[in-house]
Amino acid sequence: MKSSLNGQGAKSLRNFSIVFSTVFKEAVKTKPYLYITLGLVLLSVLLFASPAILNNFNQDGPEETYKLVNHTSLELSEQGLAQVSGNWKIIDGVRMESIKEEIKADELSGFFMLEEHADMMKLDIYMPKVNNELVVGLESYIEQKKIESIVSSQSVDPVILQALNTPLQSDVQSLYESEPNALMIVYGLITIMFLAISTYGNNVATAIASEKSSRVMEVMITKVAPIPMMYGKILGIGMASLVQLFIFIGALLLWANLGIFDVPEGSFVQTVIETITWGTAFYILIFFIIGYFIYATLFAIVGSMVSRPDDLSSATMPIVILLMASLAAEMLFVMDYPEGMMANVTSYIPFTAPMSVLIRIVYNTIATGEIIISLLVMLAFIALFAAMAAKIYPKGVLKSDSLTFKQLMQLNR
Amino acid sequence: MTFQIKNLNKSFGSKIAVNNISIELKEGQILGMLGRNGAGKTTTIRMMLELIPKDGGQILWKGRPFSKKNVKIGYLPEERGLYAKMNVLDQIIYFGMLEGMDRKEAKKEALKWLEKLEISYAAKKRTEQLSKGNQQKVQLITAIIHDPEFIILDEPFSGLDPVNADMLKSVVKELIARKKTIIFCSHQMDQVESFCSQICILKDGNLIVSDELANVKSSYDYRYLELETAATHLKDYLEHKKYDFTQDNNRYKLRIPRSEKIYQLISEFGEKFELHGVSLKEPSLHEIFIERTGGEVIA
Repeated sequence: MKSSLNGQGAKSLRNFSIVFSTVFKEAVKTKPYLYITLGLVLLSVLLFASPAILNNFNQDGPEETYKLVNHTSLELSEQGLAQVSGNWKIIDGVRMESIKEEIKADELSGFFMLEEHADMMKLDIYMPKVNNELVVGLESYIEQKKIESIVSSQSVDPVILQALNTPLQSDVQSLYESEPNALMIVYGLITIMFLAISTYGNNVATAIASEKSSRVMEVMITKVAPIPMMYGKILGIGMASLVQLFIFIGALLLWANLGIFDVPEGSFVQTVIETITWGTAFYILIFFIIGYFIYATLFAIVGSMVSRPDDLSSATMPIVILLMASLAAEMLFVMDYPEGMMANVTSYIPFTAPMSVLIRIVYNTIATGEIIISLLVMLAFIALFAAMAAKIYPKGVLKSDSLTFKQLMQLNR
Repeated sequence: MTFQIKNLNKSFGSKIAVNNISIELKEGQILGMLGRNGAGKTTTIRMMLELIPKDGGQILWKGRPFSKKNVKIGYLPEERGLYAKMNVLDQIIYFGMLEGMDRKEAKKEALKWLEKLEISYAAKKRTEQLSKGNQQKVQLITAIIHDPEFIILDEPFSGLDPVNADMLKSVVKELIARKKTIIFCSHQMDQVESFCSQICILKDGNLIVSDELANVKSSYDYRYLELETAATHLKDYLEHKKYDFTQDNNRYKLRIPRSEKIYQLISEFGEKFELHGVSLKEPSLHEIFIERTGGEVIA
């Protein structure tokens, strides 16, 4: 009896591996898969090349020219203004019509009028598109000249003058123990996870519904037990998804290590390189797999309940809503406050945990113990879903018509 | 007996789909399973294949429970099912491997069958690119590639052109010659008659006929005497004697009670008319089916 059970187990395992490898090979052979993979590689190149591309755009553009009318006693120089940005011409007076024509002809990027009133100085700005960085720089330059003028008229000690001119240096610091650009990485990761789970989960449901509608399921069931077949499909399609992810991450790592792209300090790409360590990558992989597995099992059950692929969009709607609600909860609550109550709670709900834990890992706001408990909770739910699928899936796939969940439950009694 | 169904039952709610049926089949025999739509054939097959659980009864193979664990089964379902996007060769190999073959062996057998059924050129094509007839050939290959001992063929020739039907018939004949035990479901009675040594007829879930085809035919209380003659007055004679007959030009088909002494009858006709041909025929399966199921002509 025991050896017979072992024999059946070995047969199930063999059939599972055949279904798994065939589904995987068929998935990666499709044209959409090849195009998406190629697209991801191109995206990785674009990501690394983006600083250089942006730099090139900036360098290639003609230098901006500005004009300023100075109706104050301040001693402004064209060289001094050029240190702020662009080329400057200090002029005595001008007609507004001619300024407008110069701006229209792209010969001038902006015109400034500095005037002195009784109790204040006024700077009028005429620009078709206001460059805030330039305006702030210009204001700072004028303020500095104003102080110099007051200091020289009041014979103040040069040491005091130097102290007054000490620049303020601002630097963005992270609220959590992560890189300042971590928010963008988190956005990227959960978006990839959401897209991958919904796309590949739908693929699982479509594959099963197609088998049902084409009646190939009836033949398959005589050869493979439903559960090894279901998990062969889920994992086969999941592996295809992972391979795409590996190719994308592999391409990023390759560009990072080859050093063929210029990665400036403080750029997003540099943050990606510094944040995604081997340890983080391992966790991303684990939570990606588990997240996919939880949802894909639900997609598989729903796929077994419909009679044809056309009915899937309405049948999978509750799962898609659940997935979107999870994404919304992450964006609204967890990402803004990864140490808050919502972040803690959602780390133990199986539908939200993969994203929540991932966010908290990137933000460094989760302890290893919490990760392990979250993993165990998710594994327990996967076992529960697997047990549910074992009851529902075999009944669903052999019914040629669509079934409601209630009908499936009745079939199991 | 190699294959036995004993007191098999199945109900769906209050509807009895299969009512206490029993069938026996020796190794190498081919059973024609007949019945009108909804008679219980598909339900019986599905119970054999463990696709649905039986309510009661036993299905045995050489004294052990009939199961894919104990016997190599080949199944060609009535409603065809193949992976449309998968290429033909990969598909056949896939099904072969799921039946326990290794890849190399499955590929060798697949190529052999593709060659035999004259669709080698389609090996690398996607299944959906093939004609319906060629898809049916692929379906048959997937059902028998693993050399099953027990084969269920449900309407194997439906929708085929005569050339392809003949080709697939030759495959069935080969399977019969190789002593495979086969259950053959069809509404085409001439095919059942030409292939099957045993028949069973199901009606409303009940087994109303189950025997060797020859016994079923001989159990009928009439047979046919066919006479060929140029004598025009034979018709008047038959009408006068109140024979049940049909006429097709010079051919007359008389329905004769089995109790009638046939040689005496032939000599009586021979004496009165110049006969060019005489033959004695049993009732056709088509007639038996219609008579027993009370149905209309289906084939």
